[in-house]
Amino acid sequence: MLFSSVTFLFFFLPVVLVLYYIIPAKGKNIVLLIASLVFYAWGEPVYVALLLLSVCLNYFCGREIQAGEDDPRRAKRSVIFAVVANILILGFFKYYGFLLDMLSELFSADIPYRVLPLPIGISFYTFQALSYVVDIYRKKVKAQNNILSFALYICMFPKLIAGPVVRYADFEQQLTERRFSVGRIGQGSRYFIIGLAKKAILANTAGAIFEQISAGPASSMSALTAWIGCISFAFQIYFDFSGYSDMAVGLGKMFGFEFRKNFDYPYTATSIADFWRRWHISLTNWFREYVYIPLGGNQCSPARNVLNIMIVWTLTGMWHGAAWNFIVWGVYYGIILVMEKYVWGVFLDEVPKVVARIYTGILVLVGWVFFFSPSLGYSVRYLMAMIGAGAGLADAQGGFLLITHWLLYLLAVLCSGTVGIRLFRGITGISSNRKVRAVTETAVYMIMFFISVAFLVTDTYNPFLYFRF
Amino acid sequence: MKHVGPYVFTVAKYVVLMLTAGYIALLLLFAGVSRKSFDEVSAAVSSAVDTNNLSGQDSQAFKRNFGLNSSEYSGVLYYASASGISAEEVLLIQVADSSQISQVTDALEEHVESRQQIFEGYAPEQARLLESARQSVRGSYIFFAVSENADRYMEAFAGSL
Amino acid sequence: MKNRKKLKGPADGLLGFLFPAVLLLVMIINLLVPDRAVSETENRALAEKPQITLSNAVRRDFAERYENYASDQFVGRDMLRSVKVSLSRLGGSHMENGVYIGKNGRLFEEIQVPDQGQMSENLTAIKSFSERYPDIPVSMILAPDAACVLSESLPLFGGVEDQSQLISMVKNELDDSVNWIDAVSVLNRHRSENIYYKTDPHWTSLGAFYVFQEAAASLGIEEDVSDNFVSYTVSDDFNGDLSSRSGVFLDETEQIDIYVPTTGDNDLTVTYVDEARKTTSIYDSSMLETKDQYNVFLGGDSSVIDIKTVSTSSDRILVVKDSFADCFIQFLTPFYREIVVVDPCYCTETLDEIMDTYRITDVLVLYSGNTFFTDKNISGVFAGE
Repeated sequence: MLFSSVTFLFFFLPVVLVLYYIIPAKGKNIVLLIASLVFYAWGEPVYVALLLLSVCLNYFCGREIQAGEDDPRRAKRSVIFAVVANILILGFFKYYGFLLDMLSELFSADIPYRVLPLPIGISFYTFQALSYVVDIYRKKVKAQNNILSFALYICMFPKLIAGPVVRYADFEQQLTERRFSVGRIGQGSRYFIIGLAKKAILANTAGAIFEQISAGPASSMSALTAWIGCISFAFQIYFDFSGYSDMAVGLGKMFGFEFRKNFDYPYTATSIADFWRRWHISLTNWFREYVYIPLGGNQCSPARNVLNIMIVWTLTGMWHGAAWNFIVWGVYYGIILVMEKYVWGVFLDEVPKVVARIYTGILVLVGWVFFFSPSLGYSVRYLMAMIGAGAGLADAQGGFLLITHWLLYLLAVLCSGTVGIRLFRGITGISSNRKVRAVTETAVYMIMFFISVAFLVTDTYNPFLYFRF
Repeated sequence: MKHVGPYVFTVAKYVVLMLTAGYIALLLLFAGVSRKSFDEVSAAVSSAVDTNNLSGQDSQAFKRNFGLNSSEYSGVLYYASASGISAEEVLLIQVADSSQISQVTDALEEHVESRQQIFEGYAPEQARLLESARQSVRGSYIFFAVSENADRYMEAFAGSL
Repeated sequence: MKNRKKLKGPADGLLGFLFPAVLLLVMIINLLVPDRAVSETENRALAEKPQITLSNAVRRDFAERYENYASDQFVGRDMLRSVKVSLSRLGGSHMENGVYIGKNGRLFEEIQVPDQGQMSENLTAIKSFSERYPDIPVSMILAPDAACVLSESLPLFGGVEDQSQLISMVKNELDDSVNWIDAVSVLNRHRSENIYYKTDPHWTSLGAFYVFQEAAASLGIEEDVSDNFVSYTVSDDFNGDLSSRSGVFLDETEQIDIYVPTTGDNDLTVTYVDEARKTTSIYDSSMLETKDQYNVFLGGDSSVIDIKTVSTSSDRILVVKDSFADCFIQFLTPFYREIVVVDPCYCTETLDEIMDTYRITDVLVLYSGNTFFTDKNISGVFAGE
């Protein structure tokens, strides 16, 4: 199920909310767990079994590691087993076909194989499970003895399908201690409505533009069209993913859970390093915690540090998909980050913020070209088009798309930074009377919700990009 | 906290791992999606089909019987009986787009229903054959068979993937 | 200063109560209100509830199908759609759901570009068909769509593919195998007149009449036909398919005219072959009560229609067409003893069978550019043994 769907909004969510608040405290976790399994099974009726198997596997592995806490060698064997098992399962579903394709090309053979479609959310829940077992081994947390509680950690529907990647340490206490109030539901509703509006209004429309532009061959695009396409994709993926993360945070709050935010206005970043502190924060934190630091992080020679960075970023690219363009995308950022750290980072600190933002913006946009291209050849042709080597500088298609979506781009730019939210507060905070403010704020949110639903119901185009993970 | 021996967990985790491996193997067998071309799969199905009773049909016959246009799909293989009192037929379609899958399965459902009504009257054994029709959707391939040999044909299809 | 980073405020309590309440209320309303089978405003059938059986639920596309059903049957869907379309247009949109919103309240369908493989299949099929019948004249009219002829009414920067070039390519490919009738220049000459509907992709009867006059000579009709017909308005509240598709200009009304021969009897027998139905007119006035009023011509799409006239001619013509040609047939009735109208989308026989059955003496292929370039049924119907 998707958050941005009629089925979820007006079928699943109200029922679950009502049940959750009717059932007394002891049963609330069960309600959430069952609801989460239904949520997953609705979209993946067959793979829900895989999810349950993964939960059981990690539960037993976790307890085994915990039980071996006095024997470091046994504990180490256990955790290695758990990590390898999880990665094998994830790797099979995600990379088996890609691997065989590569081998086929290497040996000029045509190895026939069967693949299975990728289970939704497997990258997310596997990474959460990995953080769990490793943290037990590191003695940061204790294994969860109640399998149902553990299952809730892995399966909880607000974060099951597209994150954020929540570490068990941040979640454990909330399993048993949560605060409920109407105010909390209200706060959750705010995040949820904002996330839904980002998705249904901004992301879907930008995505439709991008889809139209990318349908044609890259070599016949004018520079204007190519840039509009790239910028539209940049807006689509940001509002899609940050909108979804906002909805996840909001839903968490509605049930009494606090998750950390996953995005922090990444398009206002002043360097690529800064960008990655603001984009998909939970994933970069995960890679830092469980790959970068174990490899040595920056507590080693510069040469080794460069290697560490490149490894982490190659893996980050691979996490996003089993295709060469994602790996190139990851390596691209790895190289830039190394450069920023060792070569030109100091210059970035000196230049005015505007210049830094433009520098970051252009690099990020080029990065997206690699990300959305179906092949490396296409990305090269697209980049050529962006500098005018495709079909000239401007054409009617580009102009048409730009002027018929001026409001969309204006809103997208405003909401990419803090200007949007400040305008919003300005409008709703007009009166100093608390009650009047409450009513105007509520009205504005409900109108946003109404408009989002209008867009959702009308549009047949409702993709979610981070869904392939 | 219950004092349970740590080996319980070791055993349990291996059990779950075996179950997972078995589950994946089952999925590959019954739900695996292959990249075989339509020519390869249709050749395998064709060689299994009993050509004494069934003959290959053209696109207009396909349209007549199912209300679908064959040029919209990547490949259509359709065998039907020349005799008017036989409901036997074998159909293999490779869709060009996954959105076509429900279009085809809906058409197949309607087809079976209307055929059953037709045969109920004068050839009830054929109507029963329709009831036990075999249908399978694997990736972009849709297989459908009404026949006493339907199981054999379906195995030929599944095995060729 | 925590308030600045997090979203918090005095509205929390109110929103926390109102939002779930609204969700619950809308859910209950949706459950209580019965499903609709068809949407008049959108001019299409609405999705039905997918059956909740085990075999259905196990399919990965179940969630998608259920969501299609839920959003199609959502309470207040028409109102929500008009909200979305209005906001979209406020934001500068000049295209909704593939329909261009042009000047002067005119809507346009996008010009489709043919898939080369399918196109060669279609053209080869037509060519070999023509070669199989060397004594029978095969004429072809490829009518341009509104966006090609009335391009100055397209929105600013709203460029489309050059359909007249595509049509010329088809003409060159077919070469001598058909008698080519040029509809593009005729319609271009009359572009300032009402030759296309504003809210519908079809040409008006006037547009069809101009092309008929151009075609008459090629079809072997010797006389001057311009005075042979008189027009009658049968409807003045027609709102076409482009409005339904886009949700724009739904309040616009247009006229539909029919053209009736001025001289001679006009008795006809119209047989809908596959439905075993007979009527006595090529107009179906019951269609004027429905949303899709263009179906007044021939009652809409049908696989094979056999029209027998009281014409003195002994010619029998086979018209292979899409819905564009529906209002063209009215001009053929005085000149042919029998008109067999075939729509390849629905026809399950081959043309060879039909040529035989009805002893056809002339063939006319009449399509609008867009349909011809996207139809995948043509090659099947024209195929020989």
